[in-house]
Amino acid sequence: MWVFELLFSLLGILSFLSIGLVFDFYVLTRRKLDFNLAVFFGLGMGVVAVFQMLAAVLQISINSIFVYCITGLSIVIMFADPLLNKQLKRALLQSLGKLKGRNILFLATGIAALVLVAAITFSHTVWGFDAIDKWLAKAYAFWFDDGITRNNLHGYYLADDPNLWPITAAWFYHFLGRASEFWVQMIPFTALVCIVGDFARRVLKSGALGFFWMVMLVFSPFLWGAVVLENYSGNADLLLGLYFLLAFGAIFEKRFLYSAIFFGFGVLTKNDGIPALLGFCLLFPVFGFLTREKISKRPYIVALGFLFFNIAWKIYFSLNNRYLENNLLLVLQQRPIVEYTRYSLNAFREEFRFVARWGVGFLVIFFFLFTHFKAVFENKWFLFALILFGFQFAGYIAVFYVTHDDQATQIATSIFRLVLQVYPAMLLFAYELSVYKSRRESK
Amino acid sequence: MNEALNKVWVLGGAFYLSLFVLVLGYWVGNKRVKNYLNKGVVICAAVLAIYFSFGEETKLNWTPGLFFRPVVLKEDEMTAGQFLFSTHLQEILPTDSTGCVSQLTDLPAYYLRNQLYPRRFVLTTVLSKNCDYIVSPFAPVKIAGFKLVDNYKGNYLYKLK
Repeated sequence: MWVFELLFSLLGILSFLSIGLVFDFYVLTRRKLDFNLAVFFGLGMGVVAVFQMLAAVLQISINSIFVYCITGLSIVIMFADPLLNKQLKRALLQSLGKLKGRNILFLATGIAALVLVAAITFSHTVWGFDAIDKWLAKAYAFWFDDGITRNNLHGYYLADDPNLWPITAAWFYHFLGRASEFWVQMIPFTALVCIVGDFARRVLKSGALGFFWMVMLVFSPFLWGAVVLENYSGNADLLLGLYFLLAFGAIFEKRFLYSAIFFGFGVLTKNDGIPALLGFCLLFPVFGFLTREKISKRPYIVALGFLFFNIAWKIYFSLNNRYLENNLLLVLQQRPIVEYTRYSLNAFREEFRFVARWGVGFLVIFFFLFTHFKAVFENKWFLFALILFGFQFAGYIAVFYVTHDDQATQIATSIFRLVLQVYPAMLLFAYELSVYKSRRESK
Repeated sequence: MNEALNKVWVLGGAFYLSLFVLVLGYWVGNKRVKNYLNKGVVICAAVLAIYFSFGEETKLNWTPGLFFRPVVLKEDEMTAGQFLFSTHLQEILPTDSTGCVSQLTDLPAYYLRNQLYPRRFVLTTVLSKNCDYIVSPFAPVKIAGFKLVDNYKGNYLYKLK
């Protein structure tokens, strides 16, 4: 029985990969395959989410047969299109060709760590309040009702949370044939594999030192803890962390369309992702002008599109927002903003040095930020990324200020999950700063 | 002076003071020192990450045997028996039924309520004849006007008479 469920679960994961690959190949790269499993997984989840959100507006139901057909079609396309098939084979052979020398050591270390994470994760089910009360409760309703409806959006849970994670889980449940808090952990586990894999792909260009960067990420306690600990494995923070890593990574590679898309998917995952997307929309044209580089307008249009789609969809389904429902004037009168902000900043200061969660990852991040600050001004896109991180933290501090709950309680229960969202991207930023000078000199 | 130093130690601690020393060392050092620091910081951080990770992993009380248990056992154990109870209720309760879940504990009650969807069950500690059905995990309840319909491994289902 569990063998079949494992196979169907793997098919569920494959569906996101194949949908993402097909979307990337035909829509984004215009038939030039750029093989990146993390990108495909992120795209797959996002495309499925947007599709289901649109289907909800059109009242189209998404049942198991539909899900299997779409997945089957995307897999068939991979084999049926000769150009895609050829490029896929070449990409796979190239990847296999890289398995030699010390790359095998790097791969073996990563795999060993992830196997241990998998063993601990799949020793239990998801069992956390947020997951059971809202994320997976919604996923169950979306799966049972064959899609999103007005009724199941306004269940027992708060309606204003975004839906990418429940939609992804519901899509996954269609493969299993049941809603399972055990097997659904495949999704956050795959997200962790993608975070590690994408990070490793970038840092291993630096040889042996890259290996230590990878180890630093993989062994960050709360990064794997977000998958392994039953209280957190059903939350959406790690998915947002994946989207931020992909988005910021794309900025460093100047693939701004991908940045826009992944920031957009981030907003569909958690409202916490809104500041980065807002920042992107506001500042991308400015930095495009400052750098004097020829940049397409498409990323800007796509980012704006996601922003408006998110707002319009919420208005259409009357989802509101628990923070905007506050009387903000009253909040400003009753809560001294300077003291609240100072408290929040101190909370972040304490969180960064919480070695039991982050190791000394933030020490590394701040070290390279303070010692390689010149690079931030030489490469305007580094400055752009840094400002987007600033927007994110400003957003977190704003939420701590306006929250219904007591600020201290809100911070105590959520700060580490917020930091998880930006941690992989910030570590990548630190790495990019560290290699900027040597890369520029070698060009 | 002492007070200022205390405050710096409380706010900064070994973490931020080490950062300060490393950054200062980088700025005043020559090219060789910069090179060593660039590499040394990363290597030490990786080693420390492994150290802290193992420390956190040992707190999990995990043994490999836990992984090799049947999936149904893992699901049922984690949910305090509510996985099998909810599966059982899904077979006997009509999909349009409504009722109350006696909220003795938080998470198992939320889980049970969600698993019963689309049946509308609310969590309540005040049981009354407004409930067509009462589901009581873990313990029986005594309430007039209801008859016991099912007892599944110490979890109870009552129906309004």
